[in-house]
Amino acid sequence: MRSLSLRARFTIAASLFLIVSCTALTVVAHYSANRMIDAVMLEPSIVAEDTVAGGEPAALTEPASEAAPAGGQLLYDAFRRETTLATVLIVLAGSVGAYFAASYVQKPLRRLSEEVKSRDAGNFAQPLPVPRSADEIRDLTLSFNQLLAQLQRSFALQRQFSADAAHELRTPLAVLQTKVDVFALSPHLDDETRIFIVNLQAQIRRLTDLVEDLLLFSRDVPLESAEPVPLAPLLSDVADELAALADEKCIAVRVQETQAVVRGQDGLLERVFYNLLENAIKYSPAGTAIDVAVGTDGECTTVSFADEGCGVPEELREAIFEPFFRVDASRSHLTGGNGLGLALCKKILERHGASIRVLPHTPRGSIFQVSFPA
Amino acid sequence: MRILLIEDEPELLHDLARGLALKGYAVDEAADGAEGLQRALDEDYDLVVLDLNLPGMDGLRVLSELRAVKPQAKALILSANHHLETKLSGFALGASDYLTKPFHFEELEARIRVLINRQFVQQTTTLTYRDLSLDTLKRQANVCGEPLPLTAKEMGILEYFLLNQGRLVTQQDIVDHVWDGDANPFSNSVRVHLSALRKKLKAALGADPIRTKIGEGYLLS
Repeated sequence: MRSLSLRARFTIAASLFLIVSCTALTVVAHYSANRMIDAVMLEPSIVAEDTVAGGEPAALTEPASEAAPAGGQLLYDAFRRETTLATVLIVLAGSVGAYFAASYVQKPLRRLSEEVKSRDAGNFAQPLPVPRSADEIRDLTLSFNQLLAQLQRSFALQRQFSADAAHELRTPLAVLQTKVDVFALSPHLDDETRIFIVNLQAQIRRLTDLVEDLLLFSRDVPLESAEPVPLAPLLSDVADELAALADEKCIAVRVQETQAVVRGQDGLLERVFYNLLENAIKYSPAGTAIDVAVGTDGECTTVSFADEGCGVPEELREAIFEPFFRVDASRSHLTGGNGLGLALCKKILERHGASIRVLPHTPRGSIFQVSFPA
Repeated sequence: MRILLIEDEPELLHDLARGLALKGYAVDEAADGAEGLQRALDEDYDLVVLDLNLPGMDGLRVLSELRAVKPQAKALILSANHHLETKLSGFALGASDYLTKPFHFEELEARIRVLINRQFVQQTTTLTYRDLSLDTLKRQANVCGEPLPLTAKEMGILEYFLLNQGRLVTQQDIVDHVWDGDANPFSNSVRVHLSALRKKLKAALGADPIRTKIGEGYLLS
């Protein structure tokens, strides 16, 4: 059977069923008909009546003959009942049989589907096991494996490119950083020089952060590892880290208790939540409150950051997730950051299979909502 | 303390050598892999600081060939390559530490200090940080003489931080050194225990001595 295509296998199975059920039905019909005819033969009046009226039972005045058409009717009814019953039983049996036979054909398909589903960011490089049958499933599996191999190659190329770019960008930054750091160790520096060094170090830091953010952003590869990440300790740590910043502006940060767990990388998610909460604090006026809430509804887990700031105008709600976008077009760095924060969040979340969007908060402000798949 | 620097970027090589000399180390330099390996085999260094992307012989190969002849040799890898697999390969080949470029000089210096002093530090049974002291034999922590109650995991994490003062510590480092090999914790359980430890330290010392570097790790300094 293995060397036949699915189509051939299905046709053979269907034909077998047709043959078996039609044969059975015919056999039963024959048997029933025979029995009826035999019974009719034993009733001479019916036979005589049939000969006279051409087969149709008719009403007669002779009382003896009144029983005959009734008897004929009974026999005909019996025949009808038997064959109908047989048809129903055979169809039922056939359907049940067909259901089980279909699963035999469908099993390799289901196995393939499960293998495909089990491929995620961690193991997509592993080719699917190719079945030894000579059917369409095998063809499909081979095509799929080809696709996986192409994806792998494309990722490898991307990785190589971004590794090369990374090296070229990081090396001169490392030289600069070390040079300034070691120069700062010199014992006889005047105040003006020290201030110069501090400023230089700050700018080098800024450039380094930008380069790292850009590299992280441009690496289009799946997560290096995915584990269960409980949200409560993560959110509480992020809130603690930003407590000083929030206190400066008398902003109350309220984090909802939760037992929710998502899959991903703790370090990357820490970055995302830190970014979102820091933004909320930066763009909230003093004395307001920020609510961090977690909800699960079976389909997905959402983490939302609600602030009472000036909000994001509707036409910009998609654009703010673009790299280097600023709501204030003058790109001022008064609020700090490099314009990549939200774009990076979105990228990191996409790698987690999650999404982010911004909604208006009432009466004012924004709600940044992150949704993780179940 | 003798250090060998193997780095092909000439400016970086000279500045690092100068900085480490200022800090009291005796430093030798090599600008290519093959030359570096030869020097490391010929002489005795307390630590080799090794770049990976080297002419002459690739850094990882230098490491494996060095350790084949001198299994006690200590190496710290300094590289622009941040990939997890590269780090893991480095550690598998016997590197003692891995620092990514660009880096702060003082971070490198802290790590070198920790690596070279490890055998000395481990001989002292009491570790201290400002008003905090930890008796590693009795497994007891004190602040200003008053005992600070800590769970076993919190004690282990604190000990690791005290042994690595001034050096950035990742969650993975903590798992590797504080949890035993059989346990396979959520990376998040480090966060939970660490969070509890930090709250206790903050209450006892007045301020949390451990700083978070978002997405990277933690620092006690």
